[in-house]
Amino acid sequence: MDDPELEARLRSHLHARLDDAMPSAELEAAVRGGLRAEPVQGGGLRWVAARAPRLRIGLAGAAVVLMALVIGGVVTRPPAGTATSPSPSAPSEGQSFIVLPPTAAIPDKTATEAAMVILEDRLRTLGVGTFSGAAGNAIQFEVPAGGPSNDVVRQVLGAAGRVELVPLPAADYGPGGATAVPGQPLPKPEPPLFGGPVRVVVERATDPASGALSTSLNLTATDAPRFAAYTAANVGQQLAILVDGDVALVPIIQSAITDGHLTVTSPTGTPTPAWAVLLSGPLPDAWRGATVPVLISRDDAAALAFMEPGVQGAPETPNLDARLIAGSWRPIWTVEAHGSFPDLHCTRGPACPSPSTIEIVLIDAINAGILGYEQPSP
Amino acid sequence: MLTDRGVDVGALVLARLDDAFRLARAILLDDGDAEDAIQEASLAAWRRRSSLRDPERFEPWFERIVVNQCRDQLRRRNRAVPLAPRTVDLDVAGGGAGSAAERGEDPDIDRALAALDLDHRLVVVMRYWQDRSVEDIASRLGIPAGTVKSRLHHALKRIRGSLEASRAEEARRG
Repeated sequence: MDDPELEARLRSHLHARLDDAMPSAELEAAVRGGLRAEPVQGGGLRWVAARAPRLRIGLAGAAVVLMALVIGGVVTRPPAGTATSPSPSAPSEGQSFIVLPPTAAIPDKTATEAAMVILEDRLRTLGVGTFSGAAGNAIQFEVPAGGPSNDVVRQVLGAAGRVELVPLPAADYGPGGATAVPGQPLPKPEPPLFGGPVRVVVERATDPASGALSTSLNLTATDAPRFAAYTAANVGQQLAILVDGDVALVPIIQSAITDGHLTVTSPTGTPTPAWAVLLSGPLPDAWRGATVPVLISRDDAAALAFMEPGVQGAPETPNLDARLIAGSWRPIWTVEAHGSFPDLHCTRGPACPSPSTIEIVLIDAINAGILGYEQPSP
Repeated sequence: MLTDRGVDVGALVLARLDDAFRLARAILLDDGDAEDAIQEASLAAWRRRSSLRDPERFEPWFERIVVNQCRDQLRRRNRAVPLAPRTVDLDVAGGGAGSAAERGEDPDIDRALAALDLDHRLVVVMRYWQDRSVEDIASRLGIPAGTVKSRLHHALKRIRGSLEASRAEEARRG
């Protein structure tokens, strides 16, 4: 069905329409610039696409698009000194959280399952209504947006749950003195009872008559008699209950507690991370000291490396992502047999990163073991 | 810029940016959507760079990514392509570029192309703007040459029908 006249007309029109069409400078800048790092409140970085503004739909609507689609991805550890106290006002964006074991040793299944239950309990106490979790060599949670801030979630997931009972002397914490504020460290450090952390078992029950929630902290058989002697001698005094150094509660001793059972009243208002951790109890030893790095997506890391100047000839590895970033991010953990779970041998390299470096761990490598990279400090 | 197996994907994308934008614009009929598609395509190219075995084949490889991103863009829009391009050229007396008509632009052709679906518009653009052979188009799109011929046939038939309808409408208006 030749139609030379129509074909000539089409050619003329298309060349006229398209030959001189040029992309905007913003597009070229966006493609050239890829992603850029943006500090997040509470420390750490997130990678955002430096997408060209779309004037026709408004600058604010499309100037920056967060590419935190965590479908396979990487995690970064915030630089030291930046991730401190959580910022409850920061809105949660909804994302994945990965809890990494404290050492390269893989915790056994029993410990991991116990840790999972505890961490789920912490999230529920914080008011995270719906979430999903999965455990392997790391524990992963998918937390929807709209709940507590990501920093708070990270804090409770990584908290060891060490409990200290700290008497607050009236001379320091009486009227006109310092005040112990839930969620914060003591303004004036005081020595804990019994010289350090105590082991408690938390029991929660609902009073069938009043419906009130009752929380009981049960001391061990060793600590109970010592606590009985202390409380008998200090009725009316304040006793701070600290969790990982932050105040969870500041009850007043009403009477001698002889059976080792402390009944406490739940604080009103939004639960603090320390309270959530106290209620759920400490993590198993194998998970105590776990880290919860900041997550960025693999795509973001890809684009980051894409635009990274000076990245040359990444070495061949079985893992595409490893090859992707190996040029500028050197491995700190290595997996001897990637993709082969039983033979997994994961070690921290001799050049373990200082806290000031950024660490990247690939999620898919986490699923198979742990594979870590760091960006050397400049 | 990152090199991977010796392929500087970033530099190749930037070198093809103008042509890729024009192709996306021809498919999507909208500058903004075309720019979005190209930005997504550039990231997709990076992610899939391991599938580019021969740097010499970058251009058709990237073109296919651009076409797929345009397809996704249309799907995301979830709405019909507008019947006329949103970009309107103004005829300015004394303007160096001349009028749209003088430059060979044809609003009736614009409307006819806009009425085609993506697959038919794509083969028309590749055949009459890129001046590619049927075999080359088939290779680039990964479809049989017969399918390309068929799409071209139906596309031209529909364009001709649109042009005849335009002429009839003009005649009716006198």
